[in-house]
Amino acid sequence: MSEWFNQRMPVFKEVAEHLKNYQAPKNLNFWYFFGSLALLMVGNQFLTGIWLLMYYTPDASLAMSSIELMMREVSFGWLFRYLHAAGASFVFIVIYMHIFRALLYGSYRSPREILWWTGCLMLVIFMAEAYTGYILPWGQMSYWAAKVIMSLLKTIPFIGDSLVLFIQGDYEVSEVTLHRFFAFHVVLVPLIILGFVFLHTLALHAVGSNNPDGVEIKDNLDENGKPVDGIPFHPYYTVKDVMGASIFLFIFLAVVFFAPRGWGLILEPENFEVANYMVTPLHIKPSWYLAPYYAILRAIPSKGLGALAMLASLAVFVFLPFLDRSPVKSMRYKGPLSRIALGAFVVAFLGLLIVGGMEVSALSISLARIFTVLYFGYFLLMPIYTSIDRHKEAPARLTL
Amino acid sequence: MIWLILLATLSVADMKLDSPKFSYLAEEEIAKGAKAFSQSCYSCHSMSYMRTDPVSLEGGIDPENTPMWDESSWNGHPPPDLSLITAAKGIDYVYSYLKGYYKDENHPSGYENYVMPGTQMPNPFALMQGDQTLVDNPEATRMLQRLILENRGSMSPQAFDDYVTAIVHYLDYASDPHKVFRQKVGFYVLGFLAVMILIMIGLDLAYWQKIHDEHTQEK
Repeated sequence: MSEWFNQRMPVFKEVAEHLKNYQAPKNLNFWYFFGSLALLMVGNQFLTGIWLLMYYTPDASLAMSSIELMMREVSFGWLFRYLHAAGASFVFIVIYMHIFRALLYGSYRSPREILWWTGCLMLVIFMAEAYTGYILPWGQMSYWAAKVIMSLLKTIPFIGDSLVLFIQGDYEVSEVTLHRFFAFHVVLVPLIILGFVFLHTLALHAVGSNNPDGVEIKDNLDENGKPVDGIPFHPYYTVKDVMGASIFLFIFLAVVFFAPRGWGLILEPENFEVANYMVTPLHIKPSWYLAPYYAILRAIPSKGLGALAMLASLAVFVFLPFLDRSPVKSMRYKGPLSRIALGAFVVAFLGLLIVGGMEVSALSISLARIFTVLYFGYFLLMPIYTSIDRHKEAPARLTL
Repeated sequence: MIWLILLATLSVADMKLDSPKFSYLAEEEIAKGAKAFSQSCYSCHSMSYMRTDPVSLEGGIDPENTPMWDESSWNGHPPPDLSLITAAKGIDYVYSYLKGYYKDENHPSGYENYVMPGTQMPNPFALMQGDQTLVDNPEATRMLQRLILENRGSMSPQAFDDYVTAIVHYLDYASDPHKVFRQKVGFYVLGFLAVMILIMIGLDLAYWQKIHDEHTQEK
């Protein structure tokens, strides 16, 4: 039966072969869980999103009540809503850890540039997905956050105004915008995400996983052409990833079942009030996962330049493969300067994350400026500190 | 650096709101709160997301009698729906607001509110609670320490506090009615995952034994 099928359309065979024949380094550690966890969370968002879609109404007067009535009157409606809302936060936790892993072990270095770039693009696409989805409940913060971001797009020279008009379909953020963002959130952006998940996986299978030693396993082949330090992905990493997924799900579902509002970080208090264009909230703040970029925006006095810096803070990741001049990939063999720089970058990122959620004050702005300089310093000074750093010799084979 | 951030967040909070002390007999208090809500609040405030909730219906919050207001009534600020008010404003805010009325001749209704100065809502509890006055208390750290009961209403201070607490407890319930059920399910889900984690760790170690053995042999 399976033979009959595979002769005509070998899709299951191909997938199975890919899993069995994909040679993964045998020393992958904790940090390598987050790729498969990202896939798991995207799956969660797709599934729960479909269920939400069955009840949600993209209409300014019905958006919030359709969600709230679903949570109360549909069996386990609350579960789908909380899984989706908390899921968004966890998608970002997972992909930030995934990106940190790449910085730590040099996964962006040759030959993985395109793998890295598809990932960079996916970060931006996930942000677009989160942003368009955030508007759908049509709460106060949904509406005013939408207005803030739209005013950012307006600062793009020449095309800004017409671009904003094109996206929001009105001169102000309005019900028309809600309809459009609904279409973007449930059709357009998810399709792009699916495409990029496929490309990211395809690129990964072409170049193979990096590993904590940053040594290419393909450099050491046995007589059959198989990497000596490679092991088949299935069953060794499938069993490990299911273990990692169970532990992760324990944490994720603990939040979903016991603190679904995430102490105001997942569902903000302001967003329990229906959008009102007459009343501006005292303190408009983005979701926690977008706060670092918002902090960079606010750190710069001019709005246009701030928007540019915000864009640059994401675009700069693209240049990493060329900025890193170390002879070794992994932080295990890089010298003290590289370690300090990565440490400073993490402090800057977390600092911006906190500062971005704070109200505007002299203190929060000056802190944001310090962290912004540190953030960009990590990238812009990288060619200098990686070339003068004292590196260790990377081993010829993997260490387990 | 972290110290600076902490300092910044501390300096924002000035006067603390009072917190209600919910009864541990939650179900009973919520049912009492639903009744109190239908008595004191439901004449003006709708509860539109609780239209099929048995506790609300039992308490007399009948969707057929839901109050409707014109957009332009009350100077353009009609009484809001209260289904999500504790989620939006916080439990302590609602409790302190309800207990925060004091006599003030300058306010058109005769009562000013400490938590939301200039509120449009006339004091709904004047007859039950009695009249409070605002006093200067330099040592006050919580808002309600500045409000003194001048003359008792139809309820004793304790009975009135129970009444308001029950309303707040009901409102908290209304903002997330499936909380108790959710947490019950949550224990089973996490229990299942805890067992699954143990099995998966065992399975992982069993599979990887071979890889570790081979690696030590090679050395």
